[in-house]
Amino acid sequence: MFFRKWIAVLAVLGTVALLSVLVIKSQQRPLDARLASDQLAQINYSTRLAEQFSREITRTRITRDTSFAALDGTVALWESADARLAADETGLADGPDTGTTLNRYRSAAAQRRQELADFKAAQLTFITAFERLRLEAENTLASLLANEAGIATREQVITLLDELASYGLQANPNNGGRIYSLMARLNGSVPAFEQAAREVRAAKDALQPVADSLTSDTPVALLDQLGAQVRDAIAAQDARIEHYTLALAAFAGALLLVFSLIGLRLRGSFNELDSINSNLEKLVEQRTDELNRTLEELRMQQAHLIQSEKLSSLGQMVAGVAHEINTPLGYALSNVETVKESLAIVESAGGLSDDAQERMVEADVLLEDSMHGMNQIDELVKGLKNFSRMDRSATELFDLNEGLETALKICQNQLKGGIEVERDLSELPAIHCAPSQLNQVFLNLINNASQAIDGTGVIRIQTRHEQDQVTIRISDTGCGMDADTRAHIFEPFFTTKAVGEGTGLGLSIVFRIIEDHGGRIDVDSTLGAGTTFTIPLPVRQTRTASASAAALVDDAAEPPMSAALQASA
Amino acid sequence: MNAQPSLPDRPRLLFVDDESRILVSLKSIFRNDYDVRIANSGAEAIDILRGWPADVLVSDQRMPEMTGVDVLRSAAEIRPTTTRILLTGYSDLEAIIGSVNDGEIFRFVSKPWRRNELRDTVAAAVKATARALTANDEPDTPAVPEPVSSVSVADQPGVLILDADAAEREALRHVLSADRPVHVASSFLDALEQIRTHQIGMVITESSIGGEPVTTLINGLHSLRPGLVYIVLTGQPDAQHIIDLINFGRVYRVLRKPINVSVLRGTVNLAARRHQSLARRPERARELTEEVAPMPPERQNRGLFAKIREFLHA
Repeated sequence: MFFRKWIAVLAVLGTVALLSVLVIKSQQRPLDARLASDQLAQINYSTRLAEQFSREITRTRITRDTSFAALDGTVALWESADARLAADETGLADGPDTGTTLNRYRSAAAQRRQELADFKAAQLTFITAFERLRLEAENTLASLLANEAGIATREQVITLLDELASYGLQANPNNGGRIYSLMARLNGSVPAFEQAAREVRAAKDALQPVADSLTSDTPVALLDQLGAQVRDAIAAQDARIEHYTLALAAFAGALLLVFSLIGLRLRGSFNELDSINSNLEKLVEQRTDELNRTLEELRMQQAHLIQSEKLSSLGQMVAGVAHEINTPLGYALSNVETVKESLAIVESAGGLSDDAQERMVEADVLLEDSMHGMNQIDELVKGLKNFSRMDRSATELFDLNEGLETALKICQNQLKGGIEVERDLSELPAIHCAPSQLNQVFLNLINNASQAIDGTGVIRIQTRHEQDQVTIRISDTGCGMDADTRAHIFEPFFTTKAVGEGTGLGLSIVFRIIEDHGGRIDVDSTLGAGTTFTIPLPVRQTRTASASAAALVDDAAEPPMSAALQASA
Repeated sequence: MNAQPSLPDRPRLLFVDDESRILVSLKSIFRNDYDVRIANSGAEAIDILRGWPADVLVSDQRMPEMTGVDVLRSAAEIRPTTTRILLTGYSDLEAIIGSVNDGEIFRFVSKPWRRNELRDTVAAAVKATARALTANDEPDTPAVPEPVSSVSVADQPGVLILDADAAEREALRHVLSADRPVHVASSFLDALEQIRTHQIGMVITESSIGGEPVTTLINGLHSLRPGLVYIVLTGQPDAQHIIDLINFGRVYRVLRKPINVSVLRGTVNLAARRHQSLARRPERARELTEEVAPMPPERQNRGLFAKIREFLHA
């Protein structure tokens, strides 16, 4: 991991470095460009001056200029141009090729300017010789006689003069030969002129190589070569830049490709991540649902546990209380009956005073009342036993009216005061159910109804039988409840009572019990007007309540049928 | 044992309760017509019994040291002819089942009792004792066990298994069919049909069939088929239901599920012996039948009794 990270960092650094190098290399340096154009301009200027120098030489020769003013001016310009050309700023001296060429040019140019002195001397000599020739020709022509020989000589002199003039200006191949033949023909007839002619020809012959050398195009050719070299260098640099540009383009293309690939991979990764995320969300949702369900189940189980614990401890308490009450009740009731019988015997024996007789009658009534009271106690204990169903089977055929009466009996104390109980009970078939559980339901609903009534009110209990269904309806004229409360009443631990007064388990247990019996519980409530609970129950149970009953009532679970018989050990 | 064939003028009653006020109260009811003795504990009662042949023993269940069922069991050993009654304010299931199987009680009476009802019950018990003394009943458990193989299986009285659950029915038939003919029924009408068409000596029944307690059926069958012996199997025992089976059904044994197979075999053998003993003396069987308390009219279930009678006489 560590190495991979470093490799990635190095790769990025390498890429950036290469990119920078390529960018820098592919840039046309403006300094170089200007330098090159300066170089070329200087070279052109020197070239022009070199050419002008040649033209000046030619013009000087033709015009027989002896002042050399124009020529000297050109030379001065040329010299300064050459100096600038060789200066450090031009940079021509630095280049390996251009340096050599520049040196060659400069020596050639310098040599040319040195030869200029020779040219000037030769030119002067030639012009002087030509002036003497012209004077000698005039003298000769004037001295010649107008005879035949004189005329022929004149013609020869004039022809020689022309030949020499053209020879002096621009010698052609025939000039030299003709001059020689003319000279031979004169053969000393006009020695002064011939001398002058020979001098002109000698001066001309001396001038010609010097002038030729001066007008040769060596410096120009060298300058051309220099220019070509500069242009070559620029072209070479351009080519190099073009290479780098191409490389840069290729590299950029490659990078783009790499980035595209990375982008593609990233996109793939993101897609994958997205799908993983959405899967994760689904998973989380699923888990949350499961957890919620488990929580709900746990709450239900807790509620059931609390309820069964309550029932179980109630059953145990009832068992103890029943025994403790029934024992004294047994002899008390029996004794009252015995005493009553004894009193009857005493009374029938007669001989009592009126007062005693009266007291006898009163005692009889009082004993009758005592018996009534004790019978009520007996009924109450039986009711408690019935209600707790501690030792009753979990499911049996049961008359729901009986269950309602038992619940009412147990609630009796709460129903005193302004609460009136209206019974509207139809004859019901005994249904197969868990009586202890249904008793619990009835007790809960009647209890709630009585608590909903503040002051005076009516609790109405109705039972109906229609075909396969019995319906129990318990309504009160109490405070009722709002929609929000109504929506939550069947949830475990929901309570509207003050903390500590109710567990909030009552109606959740009611709901579960009714559900276990294949029934339904509907609630209809108007705030301030009262509440009605309606419970339709099937007469024939589609699913037995015994399974849930086993969970609720200890020791009542039916062992599996296969285990009904246990093989002897 | 020194048993006399007839009762003395004043039948002897023995009451046992740890609450002496109960004893005082009971004595006040019966002292005029009976020779009453009282005991404050089980041990005291056993002491008295050893020297005094009580005709009827009435015991509380919840007492310190010795429970009512213990007292009744000991009493049955000392004085088998003494009729035993349990009078109790509250009993757990174990006690009730024990009072049937170990105490073989005549009646189960709840506190608070009704004076007249208790008088009637005691009178019936005294009568039962008198008859037992006259009949000179032999004990169900013989001193020397008879070899079962001496009698062929087919000659044995048949067993009727009444159970709504098919798997359980088959399991029982499998266990019992080796020793005697076994017939099965899944409903009351089935059972009546089997009893009518086969020679049945004992009925092994589930305590409720289709939610209906078998008490009514057994109560009705007693008068119509004297000598039938009843064994009740129960998975979800209901105390009141078993008390009813004692008082109105006079069942021989109540077995709680899961049932041990050897216990079942032993119980069935005992029941068969009892049936044979009764079959030899039909008069005695009829007498015993008369001792069964009649079902109160409000508990007679929707004419099932009439149906039984009609069916068996058809």
